[in-house]
Amino acid sequence: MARASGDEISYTQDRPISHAEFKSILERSGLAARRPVANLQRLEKMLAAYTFVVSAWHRDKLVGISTVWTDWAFSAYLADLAVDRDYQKQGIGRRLVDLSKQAVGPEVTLILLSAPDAATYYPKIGMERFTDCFLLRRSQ
Amino acid sequence: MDFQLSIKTMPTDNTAERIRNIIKQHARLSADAASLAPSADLYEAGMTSHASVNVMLALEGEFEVEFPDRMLTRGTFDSIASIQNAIEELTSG
Repeated sequence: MARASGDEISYTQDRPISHAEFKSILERSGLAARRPVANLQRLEKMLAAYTFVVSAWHRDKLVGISTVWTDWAFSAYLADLAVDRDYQKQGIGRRLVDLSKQAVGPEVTLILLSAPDAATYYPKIGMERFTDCFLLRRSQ
Repeated sequence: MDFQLSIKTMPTDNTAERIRNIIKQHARLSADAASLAPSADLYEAGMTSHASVNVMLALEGEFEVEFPDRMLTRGTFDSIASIQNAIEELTSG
């Protein structure tokens, strides 16, 4: 999607995100198929628990999000990386990951689980594929 | 007139002052930003990595630049002097 010069994407850690906006960006990014978007209470709990959220805005429209939990000392989990389909392939996802990594600092490893169809994306933005990762899956 | 104009756009001191203002607003330091030496370590003065992102985003807005990936390191933002070097590199040419 072309944008006029000066009509840029802005990034912030401070802007509050409502659960409706969270739901909307999950839907517009394609991540909704893998998140409990039908259950607003569950989305609200997710959103309330993140340590911080980096968001990307085009004017007043939320176009990308990176949600992170961290201990600020060793590990961080990037729970949701979502970019509106109309704004993908413009470097927004990469920027959100870079800002998230900068925010947690050099002592912290940033970890994420990729959706299967996004697995080729992360090595392209400099993330290391790590095979020794283990899960106990949610049952609901 | 031309001479005055060129004086007006000389960046150095003004840049440092603008950086200092942004640090004051966004770095959440325990020390007073006004009294910091240009080479003082901002992380030692209480800036967290999380706050450094707010500083960086505010600098991008203030100076109308975008820090490239290679500059998104602790070293770029660890003092007023290193921030000033980075801004001057991004705004030169």
